[in-house]
Amino acid sequence: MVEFSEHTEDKVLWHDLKSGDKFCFNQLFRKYYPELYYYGIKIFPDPDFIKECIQKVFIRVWETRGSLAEVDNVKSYLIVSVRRMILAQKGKEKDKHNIEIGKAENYSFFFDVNEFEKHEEISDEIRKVLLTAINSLTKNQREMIMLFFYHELTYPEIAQILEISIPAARNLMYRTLIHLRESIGEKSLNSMKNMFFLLFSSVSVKKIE
Amino acid sequence: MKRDEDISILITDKNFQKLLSEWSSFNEEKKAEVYNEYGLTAKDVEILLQLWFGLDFQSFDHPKALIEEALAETVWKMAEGKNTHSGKRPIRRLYEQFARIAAILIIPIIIYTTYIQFFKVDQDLAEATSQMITVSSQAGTITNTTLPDGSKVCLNAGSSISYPSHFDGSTRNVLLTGEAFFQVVKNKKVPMVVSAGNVNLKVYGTSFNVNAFPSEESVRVTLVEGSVSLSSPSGKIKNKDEYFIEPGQTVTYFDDSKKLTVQNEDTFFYTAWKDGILVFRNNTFATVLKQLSRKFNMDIELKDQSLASIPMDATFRDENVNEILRLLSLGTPFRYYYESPRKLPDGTFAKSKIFIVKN
Repeated sequence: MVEFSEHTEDKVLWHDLKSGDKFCFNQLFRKYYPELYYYGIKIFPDPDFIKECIQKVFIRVWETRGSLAEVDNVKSYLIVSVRRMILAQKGKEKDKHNIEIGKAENYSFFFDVNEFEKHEEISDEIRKVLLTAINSLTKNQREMIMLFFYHELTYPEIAQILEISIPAARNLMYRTLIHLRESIGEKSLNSMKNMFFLLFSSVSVKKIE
Repeated sequence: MKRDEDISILITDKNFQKLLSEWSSFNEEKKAEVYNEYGLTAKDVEILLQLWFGLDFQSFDHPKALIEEALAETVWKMAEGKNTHSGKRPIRRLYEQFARIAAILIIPIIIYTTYIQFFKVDQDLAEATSQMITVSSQAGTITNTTLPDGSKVCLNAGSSISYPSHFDGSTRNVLLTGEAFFQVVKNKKVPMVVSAGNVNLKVYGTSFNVNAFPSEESVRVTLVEGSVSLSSPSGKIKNKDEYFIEPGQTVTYFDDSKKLTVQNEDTFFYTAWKDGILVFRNNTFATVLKQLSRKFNMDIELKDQSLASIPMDATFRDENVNEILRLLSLGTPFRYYYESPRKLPDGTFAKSKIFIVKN
């Protein structure tokens, strides 16, 4: 239900923006700026540069609003646009930035353990193992994890962003998840044994009480 | 036993994701159902739970002030783009525009931050205990009221408006009987819906007048500024689910015959009442007397029906009823007299009564 109204709201905002409604432009900006910023920063960790790229995308959207098509998913459209803008701008301004273009790829889509929520279902130990596994995936795999689990995009949308085919995207996800599952599989077995031990200890404590 | 790939991929299935999210609340029976349905063991689910919860990203909170700053800059850049093409405006002027935008935006940010720090608790309470409020304008008076979202309503005499003490996030519903002038706070996410007579008005903002007295057959809406649409629960209006009214237009709608007329006259005529101004433009004497009765809370009876359809043009601001009738009688052949006020059984007096007769 929530998804439906989100989608509808975007369609309305997009439609009205095309007619020149500045309020809708502002609302769309406010709504997606954080997500686009987070995504952009993962590609290239330069806050001012990323901010500029996002702004350029929105400016271009506004300036070409008369000839914009209706889009299925506004968020996906914006992410694709920002990604392309970053690559295009990187090509233009490579001399101005501290991080060289070649090395920049090495910094893309790495995650810190604090970017993920803590949950009782997963111990800190296993979270660390999972993180190491994620960060050892290929750049496309890491980007895909973010696009799927954070930005909640679909396979067709992810395929468009990564510039691969839809079956290739699915395949990539399968292999990624197998790898992650395997990495925590073994650790999990050990921690389950620990859990059992703790369970029995607490039970005996209760009995004494 | 399923292959590894099949199990891992369940993480991407929306239905399965939901099951995993609610797993801790399931009893053994429910869990067994899931094991069977998907061909999994308890250990499989254990691992899938860890995978699912391990991939739960924290929401990224971008400080609102920074978002607003980025937006202000964007707007400024867009303006700059336009100006440099025309090459007419100096740089200083652009900076002033930006400064203005930054200033206007900073104030709401300060207010918002203060608001959420100090008032959020009260807001939650208010949301939980929302009640219906009805504001009525007594005969002969004009009443102003402010709705929970800050929208302003000016109620004409003999009118009333009902609304909840707190608007929930999805709609702003308001019920109107009589006549009111609205100045609605813009909120595209939460449109205001005014129910008046047999129609619903969806407000996209901002200023408009609604005339919907039960004694009249029609509902009349005058749009000064903004965007308002008319819809009827009983069907389409001019083949549309929502009939949009243009600024400057006055639309009169008869729900039983589904007749709709549009006038593009000046809106002043229909909205002057809110400033206490009475405007008559080619209105019949009968209509004039009806309006005077309403405004002054009197019972004005036209004894000679032959005078009823005489057209009148006049504008009155501060005159009382006597002065108005006197002025009107200069151009139209009538006399008027008061009936002595009757005392009612409960000790109060009935409304003053004026009789209009031919001269």
